Amino acid sequence: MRKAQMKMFETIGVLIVFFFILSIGLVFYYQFQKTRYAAGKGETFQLRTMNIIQQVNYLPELQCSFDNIASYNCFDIAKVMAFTDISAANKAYYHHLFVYSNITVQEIYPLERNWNLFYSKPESWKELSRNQIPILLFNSTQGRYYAGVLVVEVYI
Amino acid sequence: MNRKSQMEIMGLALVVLILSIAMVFLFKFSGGSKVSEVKQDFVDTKLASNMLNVILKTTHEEKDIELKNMFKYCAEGDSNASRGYDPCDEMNKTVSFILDRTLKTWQKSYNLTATINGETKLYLINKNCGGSLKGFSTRESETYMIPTRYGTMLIRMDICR
Repeated sequence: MRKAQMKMFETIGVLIVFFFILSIGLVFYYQFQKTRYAAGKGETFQLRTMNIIQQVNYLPELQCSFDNIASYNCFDIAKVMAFTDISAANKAYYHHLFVYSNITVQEIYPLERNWNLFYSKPESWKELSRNQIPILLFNSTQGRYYAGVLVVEVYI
Repeated sequence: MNRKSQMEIMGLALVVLILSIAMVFLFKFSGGSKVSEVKQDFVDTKLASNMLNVILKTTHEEKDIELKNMFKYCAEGDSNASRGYDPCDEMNKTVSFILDRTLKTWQKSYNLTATINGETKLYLINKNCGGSLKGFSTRESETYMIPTRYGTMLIRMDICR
């Protein structure tokens, strides 16, 4: 009887050690998976932000064009002014492109002016990515280039 | 060897096996916490090229000429008398104004240099971004060329991180 009990305790002890080591392994695995998931989510968010920046930069509604040839890194001020109304009137369409974001064009030289191109903020958000890209603003009536900044804020 | 010893050896082998698997997982995923810098690289590359493009193509408010022409006039040593103003002084003021409202405000480290024939430093702004990469992990650069009567002027913008 005593020998059988000893055997049983030994088996139980082995099982406890086994499950203890197994649980440590599972905790490690869970932690690493969690870290990988967070990194993957962060990368997806970054790619989405880059995608929005590129879409704004190459939007025909805003780009300068000369003889139907689009100019890189240049926004036509007349188009920018018109776009503020167009985006408000077609918010659903532009929401599909820019998701939840706040896109603003700022003139920094010679004057200081702001135009909000698009604004859609979710009710609750965890992260905000703010990006500023220098751009040229073209005054088509005077044929002059001004210095400006494109500010893209993306919510997640 | 009796049955009990064999069982103990099996148990020990199992423990070693489990620990080995745990170690493999540990090493495999230890690099997983590094957050991707893909967006930062993209933004910095765009920043260098766009900033230089903005600086060179912006029209001077009073003189009504693009700043790249002011760089040229400054390099060619046009005097106050021939144009009625100092192109180097006007260019300096305007470029500094634009950089103060962009890269300086955003606390970016940058270099803006203009050289002719690889030697003459015509114009240099150095804000915490040394001549070497010492102290910085990466540098994004953009270069623009302007022909002058003394040779080609290279204007280079570096954004350091």
